[in-house]
Amino acid sequence: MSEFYFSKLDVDVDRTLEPSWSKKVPRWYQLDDAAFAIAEWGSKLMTLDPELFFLFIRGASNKTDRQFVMKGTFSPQDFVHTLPSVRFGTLAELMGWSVPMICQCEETTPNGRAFLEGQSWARHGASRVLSVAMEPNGVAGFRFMTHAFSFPQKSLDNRFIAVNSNGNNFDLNAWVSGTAQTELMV
Amino acid sequence: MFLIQHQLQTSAGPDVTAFWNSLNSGISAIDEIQLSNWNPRAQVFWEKNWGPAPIAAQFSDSSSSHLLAFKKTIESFTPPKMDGRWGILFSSTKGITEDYVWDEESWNSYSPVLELLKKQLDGDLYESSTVSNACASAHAALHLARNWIEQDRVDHVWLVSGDLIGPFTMLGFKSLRALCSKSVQSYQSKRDGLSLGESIVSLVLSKDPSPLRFLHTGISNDGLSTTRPSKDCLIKTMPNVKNQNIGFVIGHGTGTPANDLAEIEALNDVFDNRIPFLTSTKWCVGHTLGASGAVDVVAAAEMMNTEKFFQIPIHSDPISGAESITQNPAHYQKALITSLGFGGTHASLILERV
Repeated sequence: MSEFYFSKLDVDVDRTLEPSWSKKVPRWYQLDDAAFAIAEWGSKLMTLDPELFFLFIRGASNKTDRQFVMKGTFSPQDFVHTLPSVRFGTLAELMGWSVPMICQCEETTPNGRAFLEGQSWARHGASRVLSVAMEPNGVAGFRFMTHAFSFPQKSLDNRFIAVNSNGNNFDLNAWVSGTAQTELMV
Repeated sequence: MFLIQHQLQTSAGPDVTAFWNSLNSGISAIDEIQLSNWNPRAQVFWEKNWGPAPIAAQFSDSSSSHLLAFKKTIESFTPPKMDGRWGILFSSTKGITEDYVWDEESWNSYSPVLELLKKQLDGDLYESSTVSNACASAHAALHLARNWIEQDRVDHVWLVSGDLIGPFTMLGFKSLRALCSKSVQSYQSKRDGLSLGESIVSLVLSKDPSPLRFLHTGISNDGLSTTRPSKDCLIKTMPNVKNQNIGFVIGHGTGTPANDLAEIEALNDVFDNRIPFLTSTKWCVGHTLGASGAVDVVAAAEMMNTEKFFQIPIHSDPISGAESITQNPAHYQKALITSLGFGGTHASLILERV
């Protein structure tokens, strides 16, 4: 029995075109790159409907913080995006979600932390848990590593792979440290 | 989950006694900002972009960086020696961003503080994390801590919640036109905004019994209220509160028009228009952002321990439905504490005297 479903998705931030989801996020042009990326990611996973959400972020909102002070105009919309958890607000607006969400800033092993947190809550009765690690991908976008626990399989499309975390081929330490990612990611 | 110990530093002074005395005597610690508390780069940036100093609730002593301020305060905290598995949580809206944002050096806005906690703890560490849910960060961390304990991952959690002021946050809240002109008038008709404040709070939480227990923690986030609070989302965090026989409420009460209105509407909804005695701490120590929920837990604990209460100083008429700010607590057995944050975070908790 597979215990969770996993997806890795790299999302480019291309601000030159109006995004497909612009009607659902009317002020999409005011989003910072991280909020824009998470909306892009959400638009690709539109069938999911979590009851609980964990967001693990590497790099916090550092880039946006720096842009806020360097720009020198100090606009409210720029400032709001200097709060790491605000990117979930954009996602919730796009998806129509109203759920518990805990945002954690994790510099060392966001993927491993996302797995362990989601797994523990699911094992203790929480259903439809999405636990997501988000980090700059070193190019011009962000990498999203999504762990989906206790979801009906039919709600997960082929962007997800089934992972049996109790199986012999699952190396927890490698997963937590990130060294196992290339083998299991789609 | 039980509250074993609470300690804090605020603008009112270095400990709980100073904080509690300030609340009880009606003395606000909000005053003109002392720029000398900031690093030189931040001072230059401030003078170029702002001008006259506004009011805020700052620590009375100064440190050359926010990390040093955290270090000094955290080293003054003394979590009790307890056998078992420990978790550590640091909750903060902006961490030590002010130490980095003025230059191009490498960044690490939160984890250096978490490392300070790890060094300070005398116990076996099993879990650690940094929670940043905007101004509801402390509530979110308490919700996480309660579940860590209930899931049997740890026996105790040391939660430190803290936020400090600098030009970055001041300019941000100024851009939102959220800062008050003279004083914080929570839940009153002539309120015109908040005053930022500084605080670092230590809460030791455990599965082991103590006289104070967290009966409930709840959090909900929606996408309809990035900067405007949502009455409905706050209501979702308070299931069955009406039947809990709440003795008093410590509200978020920032003093901004939108926050206070949404809170009063939500509280009237869940209490059938009979809100118990309602008070707030922000007139005294300012809005301490990610620490504010933990500051309010300390205030509630002191009310329960001393059976004394503090009211919000009245500057103008209470807004409709908020008349209980002039009343007294029905009892000191149970407190409801609410919190709201940008990005659509809404939260509540109930602290009970067992």
